This record gives sequence, C-alpha cells and structure tokens, in this order.
Amino acid sequence: MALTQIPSIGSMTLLSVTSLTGAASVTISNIDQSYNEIQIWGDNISSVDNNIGMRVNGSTSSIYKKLLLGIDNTSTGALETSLVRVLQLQVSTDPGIFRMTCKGYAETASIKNIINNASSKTNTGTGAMYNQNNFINVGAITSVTFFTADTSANFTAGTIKIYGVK
Amino acid sequence: MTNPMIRIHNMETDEVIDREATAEELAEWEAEKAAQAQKAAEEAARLSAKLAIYAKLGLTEEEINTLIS
Repeated sequence: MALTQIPSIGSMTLLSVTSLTGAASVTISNIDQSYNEIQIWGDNISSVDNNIGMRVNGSTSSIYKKLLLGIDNTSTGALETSLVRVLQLQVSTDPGIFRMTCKGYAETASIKNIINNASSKTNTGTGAMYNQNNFINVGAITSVTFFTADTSANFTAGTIKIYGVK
Repeated sequence: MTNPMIRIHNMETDEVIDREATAEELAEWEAEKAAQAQKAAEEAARLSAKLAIYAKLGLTEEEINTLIS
C-alpha cells in the first residue's frame, strides 16, 4: 500500500508498506530519492528460515562491508560480503523486528552506510544483533531486497515499512 | 513443488507483482547459498585448526575460550 499526500509527522514520512507474507524474496523498487535518509522498519517477521538477508540495488557482488555484533546467533554473517544479515535469530519460533537507518542513500558518489538493530519480538526469544554496513560502489540506493537467506522458503509473516526523513 | 515466490513492490506506482522464481533464478539462489555455506565451512575449519594449535600448546579449555572469545 503506498501512502500519498500524507503530511510528515515530525520529519518522517511513511513512503511504503510492503507485506513479506507468501514470498521468499521481496524487492521494494523505485525508492523516492528526495529525502536525506530512509528508515526501514521490519516488524513481526517470521519464516522457517532463521536467517533473513538484504541486498541493495539487487547486487550480489562483494560490496557489503560490515561490523556485526550479536547474541544467540551464529557468527557466519560477519564474514559474508554478498549480503547483509538483517535478522539472524530464531524467527521460525519467535518473530523478529529490525530498525534500519540509511543515511545519504540517494547520493551517487559516497559510500552508503546502513545501521541495523534487530531483536526477537517476544520474551521467549533472546536473540539480538547490531550491524553496521558499508556498501561500496553501489551508486544511489534505488531498491532494497529482503529474502530468506538459507532456505529460499516463503516468509510466513512480516511487514516492511520505509520512511523518508528530511 | 512450486518454486519460491518473488514479490516486487514498485514504490513509485504502488504496483505489486508476485511471481514464481524462474528455474534460472532458483539455480542462482542455490549457488549463492552454497557459496555462503562454503565460506562458513572454511571459517569453521580455520577455527578448528586454531583450537588444535592451542591444545598442542597445553592450554586449558578455559584459557582457550578466553583467547578466542
């Protein structure tokens, strides 16, 4: 559902709401380039796959440089250069939540940076992770893709919201 | 068995397209996963080798954990 002609609340404007349910790979394309940064919120994300990945502009190249800290997740994500681990929790049994900030996403020449904070949704889950990701040579970020990284299974629940920040 | 679904949400037009992954896309996806698994296995092997060296040095498990944590 796209929302148009909605006034900003503070400096954030909700640009899109996308359901993950029933798809294994979800791309949000043609991201509005008129903001200083975007915030990407993922809520109630569930899949039989515990590892949820993200790519920008559809790139599978080794452009993803990162710092990753986490508890209750495996350490393999720290080494990957072809994707960002958005959630590396137990989302098959406990839905995950993440909040991402991507500053300067519309700039064409600079290195892009995304800060991601993720956690389990309920008290039954104890997973948490933080990662800071630099993307090199990607140009402006015009699309983001979220996908089940290990199983290619469809998401069973989840919503992605993108906010523009002036 | 049907292939995984791919969804593309065009923010500009609000059009949402759902379709099955093609055989080519699925093969690419599987190849990427295999590459990631390979990297993880290599890292696990490196860690095992490191642990073996520590063990040869006569370190206790607690001392090894202190070194690698």
